[in-house]
Amino acid sequence: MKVFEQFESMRNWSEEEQMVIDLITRLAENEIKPRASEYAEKSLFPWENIKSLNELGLNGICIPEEFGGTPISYRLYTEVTCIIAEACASTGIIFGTTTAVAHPLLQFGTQEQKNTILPKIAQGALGALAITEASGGSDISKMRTTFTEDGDDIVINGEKIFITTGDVADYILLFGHWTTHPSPENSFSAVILEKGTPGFSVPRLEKKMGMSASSTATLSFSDCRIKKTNLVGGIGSGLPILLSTLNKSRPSVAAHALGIAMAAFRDMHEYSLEREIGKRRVIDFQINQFLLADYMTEIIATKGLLDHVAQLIDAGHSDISVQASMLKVKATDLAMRITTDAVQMFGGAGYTTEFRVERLMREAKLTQIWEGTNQINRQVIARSLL
Amino acid sequence: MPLDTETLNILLDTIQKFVRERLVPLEEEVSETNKIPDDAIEEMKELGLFGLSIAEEFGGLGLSMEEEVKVVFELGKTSPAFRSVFGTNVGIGSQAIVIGGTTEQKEKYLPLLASGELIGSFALTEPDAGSDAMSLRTTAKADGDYFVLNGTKRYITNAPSAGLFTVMARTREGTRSSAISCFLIESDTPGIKLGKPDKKMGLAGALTCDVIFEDCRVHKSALLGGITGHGFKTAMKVLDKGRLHIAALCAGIAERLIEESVNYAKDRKQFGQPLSNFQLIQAMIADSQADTYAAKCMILDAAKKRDKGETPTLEAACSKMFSTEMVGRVADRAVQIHGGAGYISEYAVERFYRDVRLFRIFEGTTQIQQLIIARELLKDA
Repeated sequence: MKVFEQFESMRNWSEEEQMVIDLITRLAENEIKPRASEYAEKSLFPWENIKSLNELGLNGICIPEEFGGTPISYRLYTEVTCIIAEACASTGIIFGTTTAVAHPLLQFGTQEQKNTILPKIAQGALGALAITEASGGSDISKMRTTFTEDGDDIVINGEKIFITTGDVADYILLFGHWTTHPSPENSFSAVILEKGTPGFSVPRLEKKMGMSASSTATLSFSDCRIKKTNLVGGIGSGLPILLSTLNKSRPSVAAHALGIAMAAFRDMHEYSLEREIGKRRVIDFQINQFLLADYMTEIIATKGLLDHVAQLIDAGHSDISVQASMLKVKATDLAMRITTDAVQMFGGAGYTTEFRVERLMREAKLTQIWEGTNQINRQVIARSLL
Repeated sequence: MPLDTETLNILLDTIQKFVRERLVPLEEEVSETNKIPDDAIEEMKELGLFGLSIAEEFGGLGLSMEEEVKVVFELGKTSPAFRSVFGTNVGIGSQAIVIGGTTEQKEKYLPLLASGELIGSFALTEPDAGSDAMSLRTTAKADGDYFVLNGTKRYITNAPSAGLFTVMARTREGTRSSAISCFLIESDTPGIKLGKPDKKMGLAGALTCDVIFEDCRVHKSALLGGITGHGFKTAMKVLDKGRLHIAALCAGIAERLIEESVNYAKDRKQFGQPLSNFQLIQAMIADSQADTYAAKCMILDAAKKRDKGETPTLEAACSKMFSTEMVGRVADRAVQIHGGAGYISEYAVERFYRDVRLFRIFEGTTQIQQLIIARELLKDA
């Protein structure tokens, strides 16, 4: 489609960046997309897809060369996320979650943490972010996970729920409160923890509406002991770490949602050209033309906004939480509407698992909920106006 | 004959109790096993749910449309898969016989459908003819006293358990509605094959599949009303009545979803207070309530018009379109109010969200309702 081609041509990718995009587009089309529906249907972790991404060195794209990575701009990262999510949304989540752990380590981690963990992530280790608890989803003051100092150790107690890839991740960035800190309001902290640490277990995996190839786990910590050197960014730095993580992960969720939206748009367009109703193609009906026209307009507008926010991040701006929230709301609401209308355009067939739009609609719903529900993101946006 | 107020209230109370005490606790099991337990089906038979819309002389309850939608409001408060068990007998699987059957056909089938001994199923949709029913390709060729049917029907609700199919087939070439006839075909007739159950987004427990006719020979007595050429008109009349039933189901489900949302919002605490204290949450609950109230009002209005002998085609299409779209919005808000929990299968709202997506598609998509409404408004202009 010329509109999209023209948009792409104005994004000024360097030759190297264009190579990365071409490489990933081919990988997504030839390897990731064909496996997506089987992984989803059987709720299997998409190991083959993750292997394919690692073979291209994609896990290293947010890690500096000194730690064995091949860093790219944040803007290119969002483009890569979008391409992967369009082929398989679950694989996109796993990829995005690992980079969401690498970013704060890079920004707040000690030299030792960077030296040991970042090269492993560059080689394909997976990361998970452990924030949500039963008593508090979007509310950190209600978090009950505790970090208690004991000599050179930290003892962890608590439970986290809805943790993406929490059961398979090699490294977990875990948030909780430092018990011996004098002021409870400043006790919020983060630690990094390895898979298999005694006292850490995964008692439960969730069944979900969609994204079933990406696992969602309950993580339980019972007198789980780690070294004090696993503290990330000092006692009480939890909030800046969390905000910085979310500032970068919200645009990533937006890119992910945009990938789902693109998949729905392409499927709708293709179907409307091929399917005939009483000798007229579906696209020959004005009502469907207007639908596609609106969505093409919205996709281009959202792509523009995504580029803008990604450029802010690449330029080093850190006070972008309002823009990150606006982008997250815009892209995920778009993904929800377009996938819902895609099911409608396919009619009865759209309600069966024979076509991908059924899955896309269930997947899109998550994007409106996680990384701060869209209601919480609207609060972030509104607060800037008060 | 409409029931007196007291009898109706007793019926509604009984159904309410059955839904709350028997069906709601079974919801998760049905979702897991993709099957409605047999003893629950037996209890539905005893309650007379299969015969809601069939006249008393044939063993049904013979409810008026207004009474039927009131019953369906209550049935909406549990998984719609339960309603689907007897839904075809109440609606599309029996009404062609009620509207256009011969006395003999009525006497033969309606008592069995009313008691639930026989499951009726409606076979109109085809791989290349859904909303565009006129382009259906299944043929019924006359051969002496017999007709021979060939063709494939798609997404046929209750086909795996059906004993009787109401089948629309082409008895002539051409695009005139008189080219299509309606047949009543028992499922053990040689030449009928069933496909594998469709895998769907939701409605676990309510099965649909392809029904394939291969040189299926039926006696001419299977022709609905004993005449050819009335199939399309009958199908449209059947769907017209069914629209209010589906609309009422959606209004009932919306009430259940509001109940789930209100309970969760009062219970769940964020930032030191219940979710229900936040205006954004209150706004979602209020919008859902107004939506549901509007749907119930229009459904009751259209049902009363129908009971007065009018043909409220426009009102039924408005009700079906508004209510199915409305329950989609209400389900979306319910999931959103539940947040992460709403995406997890152990909460009912996750399941309802997937279930209600169907209603905007089947028995005439929203887009078909729009065309019907516009046509009604434009025809006199």
